[in-house]
Amino acid sequence: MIKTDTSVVIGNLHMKNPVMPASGTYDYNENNPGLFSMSDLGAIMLKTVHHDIRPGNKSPRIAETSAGMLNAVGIPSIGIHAFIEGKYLEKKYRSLGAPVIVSVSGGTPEALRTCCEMLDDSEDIAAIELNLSCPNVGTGLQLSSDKKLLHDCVTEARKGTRHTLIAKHSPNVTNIAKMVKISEDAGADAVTVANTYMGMVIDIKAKKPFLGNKQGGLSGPAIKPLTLYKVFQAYEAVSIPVIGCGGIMCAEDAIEYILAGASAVQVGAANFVDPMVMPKVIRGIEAYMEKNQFPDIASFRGLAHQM
Amino acid sequence: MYITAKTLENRIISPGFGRFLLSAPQIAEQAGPGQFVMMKFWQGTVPFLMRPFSLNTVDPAAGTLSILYKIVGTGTQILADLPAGSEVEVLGPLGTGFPLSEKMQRIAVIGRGVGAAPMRLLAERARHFGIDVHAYISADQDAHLFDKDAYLEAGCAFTGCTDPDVNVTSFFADDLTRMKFDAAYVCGSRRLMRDVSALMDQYGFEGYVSLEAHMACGIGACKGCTVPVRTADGTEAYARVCKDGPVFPVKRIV
Repeated sequence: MIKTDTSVVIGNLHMKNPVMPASGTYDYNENNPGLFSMSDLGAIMLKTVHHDIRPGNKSPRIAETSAGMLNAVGIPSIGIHAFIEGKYLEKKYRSLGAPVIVSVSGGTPEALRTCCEMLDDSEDIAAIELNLSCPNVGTGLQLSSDKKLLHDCVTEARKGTRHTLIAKHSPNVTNIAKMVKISEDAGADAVTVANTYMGMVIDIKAKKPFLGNKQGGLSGPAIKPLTLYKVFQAYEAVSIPVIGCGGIMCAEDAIEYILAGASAVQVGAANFVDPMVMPKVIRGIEAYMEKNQFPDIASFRGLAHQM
Repeated sequence: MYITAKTLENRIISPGFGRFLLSAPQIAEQAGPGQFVMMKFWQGTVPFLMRPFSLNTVDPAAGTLSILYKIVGTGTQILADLPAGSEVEVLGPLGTGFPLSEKMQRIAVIGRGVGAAPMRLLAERARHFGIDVHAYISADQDAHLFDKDAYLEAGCAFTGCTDPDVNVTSFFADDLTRMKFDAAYVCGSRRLMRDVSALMDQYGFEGYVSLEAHMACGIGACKGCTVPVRTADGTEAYARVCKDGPVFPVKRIV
């Protein structure tokens, strides 16, 4: 049997395996069910810290759909200032044994830059992920759905930090290849493809939208083929690493993403269905590598493009 | 904890309602009244999310939990069809349950229909402490006063109300004129909670309510199941039903 190495490097982020949670689906701050060690993960991802103080959306925030779910949580946040002043990174995330990525959001490019600047001094984080699915304060458009906004957001955030910068894209675009190239050109070290797909559920008894926010983001296995294709396209468009995120429920799903070109993967809604899913995905990737005699992740990343 | 548990018994107790008994010794050892479990009892991804269930009974000695359910949708229909011996995934015990003190002398448990399920466990635990328990349970028909015999067997004073024109809390209000209650616990209806809140103002006892919500994770991570509550400084904020609750002081609910 060959010795397999599951480690991946994204900018200055050194992960011992390619698996991390999607932001907002597994909050290590205080809601870790304690079923496995955080050090088992490739990286720890915080729920998005917004530039502003936000209560989040009104209920209901969750709706189950066929093979998935809609969420309209609305990024409840204590705001970046309280987050820094509260020293949460030092108090709660230091010494967990895996690199920490902070997800940040804001309604303008300047707000994102401020978040990055405020986190720049921290030695407790390995990377910053920009949550670019937040609606812009002025236009209401999702930050990563508009070319100019996207460019400005990544450019400003880049100015604000020396940390590895990951741009998390919305899938609600016509051409993901063009959008991820904008992030690369603006200085992102990696792109995450992708956030959730906008959708809705209507309550036919009440005859109105079910979610308090009317619309929400669809995640879960229902979206996996959609996002897998976007990762496949993104891989051909950029030379920076692509992180695949969309409907991963098991190791086989994660392996599909790596074969499509993903350097790492994020597990999201599956954490709600099986709180032990991430260690299972990690073990499954290792078993696949052993079976296929792949010594490292790079030896099968993007292989599906060689058809 | 997250375990695979075995179904010991699952039977329809009235058309559209079932009782589910599970062997889960590790959870039974820890679970308190008002806490809940998330369960998955099907293969595949449809339905998608685990389902939250309140605990109707917990027997640490036997290592069992029971759940009372109403068949309302796909998930509970699958549950109703589950034969004894089936394995189910269980995450729990979860949430903040009912605060109960051995120093209490008399409490009221108030609930409606299947929503009153967690009140039986609370009543049984309170009786174990020697607390005088008065149960006030409403339902649309006698057959839906599911735990009547259990309350009586545990030595509770039981008042069942199936008259749609009579509010079950009126019986509690009558008793309050004659005896002192340390606390009232309510679930299954917002109206019952409002009634209890008004009686608290008049008689000055502690009041706690168990809420229900749509949940995804059940452990506080997804922030999906929030309700607006009053904070200590009088402002409003969202609290998570799964983690901060499901039990809240009545006066915190907006």
